[in-house]
Amino acid sequence: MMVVALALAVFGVLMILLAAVGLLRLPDVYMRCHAAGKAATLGVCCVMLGAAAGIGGGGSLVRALLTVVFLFVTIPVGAQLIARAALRNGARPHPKTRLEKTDEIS
Amino acid sequence: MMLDAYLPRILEVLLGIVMLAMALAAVRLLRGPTRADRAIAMDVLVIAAVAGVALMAWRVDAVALLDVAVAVAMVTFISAVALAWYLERRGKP
Repeated sequence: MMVVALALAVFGVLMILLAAVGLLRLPDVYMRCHAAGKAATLGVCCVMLGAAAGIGGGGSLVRALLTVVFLFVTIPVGAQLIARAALRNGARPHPKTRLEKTDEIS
Repeated sequence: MMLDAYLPRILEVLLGIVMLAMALAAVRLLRGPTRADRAIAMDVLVIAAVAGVALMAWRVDAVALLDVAVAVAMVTFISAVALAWYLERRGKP
């Protein structure tokens, strides 16, 4: 049990580090929203479940599940809202991006 | 078991990695060319803080600290929506 919890926590922490590296290294704001919206969600949910399993007991599991459900819904929505705001403000994508339908989106 | 003896040290190392991720996100928050970059960096910073609070709750074995993680996770969405709303109303990125 403790091994599973620790494996979840290690995987989640590495995913959060990956999201931060992507935030720093990716070339434009849309790719950064992509890194923040997916890797960070998976990472924080794994860390919460791992911590709840490590502490043990029903109360911690309920809190962790509440947080996981809420974060799975809200973090991608927030990242998408910020990317849409950047698009409507005319932030330029990376020059190698293949633009196809951005005019219809905005 | 061997793992139980080393568990506090392992959790402290994981907390250090989370702090490294927060430092990288803070660099993007300070440098970010557009306001949307700063907003998304703030989002990742708070998400990493939630993970750090969860790890800290495990380290000191306190369920009450998980409540902090729940509350901060719920405030994050409000801040992201408010920042996006503010960005859409202003002109330049």
